[in-house]
Amino acid sequence: MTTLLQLKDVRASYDGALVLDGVSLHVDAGETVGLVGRNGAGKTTTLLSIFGVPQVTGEILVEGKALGKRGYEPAARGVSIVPQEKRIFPNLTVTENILLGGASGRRGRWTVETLFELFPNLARGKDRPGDRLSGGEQQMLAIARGLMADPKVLLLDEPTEGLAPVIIDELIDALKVIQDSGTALVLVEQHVRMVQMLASRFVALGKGRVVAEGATADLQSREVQELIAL
Amino acid sequence: MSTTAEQVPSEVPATDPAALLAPAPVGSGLDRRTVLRGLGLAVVVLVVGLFVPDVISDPTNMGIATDGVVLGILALSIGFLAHRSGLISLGHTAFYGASAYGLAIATTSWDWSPMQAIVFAVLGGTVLGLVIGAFVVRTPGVSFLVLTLAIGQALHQLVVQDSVRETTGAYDGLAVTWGADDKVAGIAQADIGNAATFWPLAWVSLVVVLVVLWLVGRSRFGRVLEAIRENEERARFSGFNTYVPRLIAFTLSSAIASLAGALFALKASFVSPDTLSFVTAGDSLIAAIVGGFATLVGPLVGGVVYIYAQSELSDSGNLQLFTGIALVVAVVFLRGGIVGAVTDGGRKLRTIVQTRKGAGR
Repeated sequence: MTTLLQLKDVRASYDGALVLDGVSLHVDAGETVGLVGRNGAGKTTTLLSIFGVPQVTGEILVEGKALGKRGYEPAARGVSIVPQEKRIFPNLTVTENILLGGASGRRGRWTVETLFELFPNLARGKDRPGDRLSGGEQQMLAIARGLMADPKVLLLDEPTEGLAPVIIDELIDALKVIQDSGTALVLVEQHVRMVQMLASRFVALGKGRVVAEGATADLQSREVQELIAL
Repeated sequence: MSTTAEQVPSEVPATDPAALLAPAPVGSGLDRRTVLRGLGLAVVVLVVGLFVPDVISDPTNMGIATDGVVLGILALSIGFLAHRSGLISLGHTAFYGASAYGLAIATTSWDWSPMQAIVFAVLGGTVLGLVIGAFVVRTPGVSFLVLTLAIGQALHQLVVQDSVRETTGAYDGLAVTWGADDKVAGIAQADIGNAATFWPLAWVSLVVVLVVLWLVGRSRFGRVLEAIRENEERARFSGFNTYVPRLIAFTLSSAIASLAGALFALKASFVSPDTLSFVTAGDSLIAAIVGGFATLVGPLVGGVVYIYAQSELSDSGNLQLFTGIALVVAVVFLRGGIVGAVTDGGRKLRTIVQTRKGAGR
């Protein structure tokens, strides 16, 4: 299977404090990987390091070729991110938010129309400013914007955080459609149930290192539970 | 990030300016109908405005109106940058003053025609904006403000040096003189100091600037700038090389400041180091804030109000005191400046009227 995204011995620090201490992981085409671990384990930093925030040492490869240091390059190489906070542009409309996702110039199966089919709530409020949307709709909008760049890998940082269970179910349905379209996902999640439902494999981080990895079925084992203490 | 593996250029490495300037999607930006309506309104405003000298017969008031429009154009350049990019500049007098000096030097020292000198001055100020912008737009927030202030002050110090007295006149400044047969928009130099005669030139320039800023603000480029202002990091993650749109905005803004500088030099027939001074930079920024830079015409209104207040209050010796009070009032009580407050007031009034109508049914 083709390896789309690979991190090799990635180290990063904020203000001198080491937050990633040699993280290595890979994501293959079409698979979903759950990135789990306690708060402060380095999950978000791992995702952001791909976008050059913070600057890291080590290797980050997309389809075997090194990624540049500029934050706009991953989108052009087929890597999109749905960040944890400040996901949307609040003053821009839903449609404008989605269109901005196409800035890299990559075009593929996702268009504004197909994204509105995936997220009907967004279609109903397409001319509303982003800050008039509910938390769940904002999350859907952020995912739609990420998909607009036709990513090979979509990185999702705690997509269910703060959402009502009914919205989480809607989100899971949408993520399954995205999986079926062949897009690989990296899912940073606190909810084991979510990872088990969507991912085939997990990578567990602790104190900036990979402490465990394997099939998602193993997430329930006592050893893994102790390591990640979710 | 290590680059031990083969480095490849990104497939679509940077933001394409041409694509950025394309109209925004229908319903949220520039559709043909909106453009035509906007241009139609601009033509009406342009024509009506040309009759202002017929209404304001008093030369002093006409002078205030003309000077207000010139300061308003400078304030528009600063307001556009602040509103669209979130970049507050204290150095736009660098382009305003450089353009004014460029026009003075081209006409007086090189004997260029005034039209050639205007083109040279505005292009020169714009290129200066591009070069300076290439460095300063990388720095956000306070660093940007301080850098622009430093660059403006550096230019001010440059023109007052004794070593360049022959060219710039140092502290004495430089007269703008051109041939008796040469005219600008049909105006000879002998008549250009007359505010009523100069008015059409200032008014047409203003309307052109307003139309350009309106189109840019509603284009896809305007939306991109807004996205970058709101969250630069997210815009970059979405695939934008955020540097390019910022530089374009800065350069456009400096071009408008250069136009204001050229108009000032033409009208005054004189340039002095004051055109590059911190005080002029502060005046124009205050005009933009007091008028309200979140709206298209706010900085213009601020410019006219500022010049009017200056003419009314300068005799009292307390102009700076009143300016300070006006700034505090605008920042604390009128969040959107004068125009923002009027717009908000109108909106509230409309809501009250609609509510009462609904209750009466």
